[in-house]
Amino acid sequence: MKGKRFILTAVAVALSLAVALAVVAASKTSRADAAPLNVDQVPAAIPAQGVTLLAGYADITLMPPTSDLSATPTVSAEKALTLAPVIDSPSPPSTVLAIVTAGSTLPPPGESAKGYNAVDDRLAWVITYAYPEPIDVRQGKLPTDGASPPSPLMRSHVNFIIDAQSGAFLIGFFTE
Amino acid sequence: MRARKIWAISIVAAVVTGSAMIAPAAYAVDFFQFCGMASNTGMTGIRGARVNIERYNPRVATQSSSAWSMADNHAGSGSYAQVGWLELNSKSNNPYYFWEYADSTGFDLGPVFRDPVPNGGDYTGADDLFTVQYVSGDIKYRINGVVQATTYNPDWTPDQAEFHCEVHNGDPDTDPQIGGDSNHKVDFTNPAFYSMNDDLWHSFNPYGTNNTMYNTSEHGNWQKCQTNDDPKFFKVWDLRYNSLP
Repeated sequence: MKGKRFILTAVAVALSLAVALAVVAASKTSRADAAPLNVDQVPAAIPAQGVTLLAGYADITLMPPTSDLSATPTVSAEKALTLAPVIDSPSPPSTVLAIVTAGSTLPPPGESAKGYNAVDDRLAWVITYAYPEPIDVRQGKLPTDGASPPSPLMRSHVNFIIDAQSGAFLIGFFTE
Repeated sequence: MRARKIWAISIVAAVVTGSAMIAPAAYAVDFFQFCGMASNTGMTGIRGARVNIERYNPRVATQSSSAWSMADNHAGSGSYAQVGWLELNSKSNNPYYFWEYADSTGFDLGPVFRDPVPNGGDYTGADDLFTVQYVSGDIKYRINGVVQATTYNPDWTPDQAEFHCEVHNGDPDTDPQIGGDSNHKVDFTNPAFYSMNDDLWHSFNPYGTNNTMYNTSEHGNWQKCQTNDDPKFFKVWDLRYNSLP
């Protein structure tokens, strides 16, 4: 009888442990596999699953820096600010470190990146300026045959991404 | 602001004259001002546009000044893809390469900057080859042969090529400089379109009938090359200036 109870207890404990481990594993997996969040602004801190800006257009994904040595910037945030355009703004620019990939710059899967100015997994400073008031950023097309020009595209922020290892300008874009 | 003013003046004029409302001219000076050329309507098979554009660093106190090559759909309210250089109002005073795409509804998320134009865009005679091409259902944006971006599965196909300098503003007192000045004009060299009919690039003929020059800008001007074999094709400049910034 005692032996049977012991076996049942052991099975119950093992099952509980297995469930707990599965929950932890699932939680880790879901975090790692979760798609980056589509956002309209560069966040102050990059969440664990990352964010994508200009989704479906430029597809600029920012992931949090990893803890390995390759994620150590050799260019400081202050230096990066001097390597990007300087915008008249009522507030100081924000900077955030991220691993940056611009999907629109990559070759199709399986194709060589030769001949592409690709931004792929680069440790970089993301610099964001706020304009004093929204500006029209659209570079439109000629309104021929009396057609109306496209409506203005008003934007309040401009973002510049500077490689945190080389200091190179990688990409820039506007956000709402 | 200016567009609103033009409409307001039109409405007042209509009331005063007792006539129907007078619409602004089709190319009234507005936020968008262009100077350059476009392929003629009705051409068939155009699937890309390319041109060499000379570097210049315009004066931009507000908004922006740009020069670009574009493939677009003539009838679409949006439907364009362009690549070129763009000078933004900034203390850095440096043009950047850019690309931009609008779908058939006009939806667009704005210019995307790539590398800074070398040497601050100084006028040295150097130019860059800007190419937009619709290939296998996608649009590729190239600068000097290097792909800067791809737009996958656009919801329109090109039928027109455009090559322009462009400025944005609504205030005549602070209009940005359109590329070039009277002594340093911006050359557009070897404009060409890519044809799906034979998968080849074809040069526009400066004296042919397949293209039209446009100037919807308040201060810009264009001039065609002076000989039939001049590859520069046309030049653009801002009439207000005769010296480099």
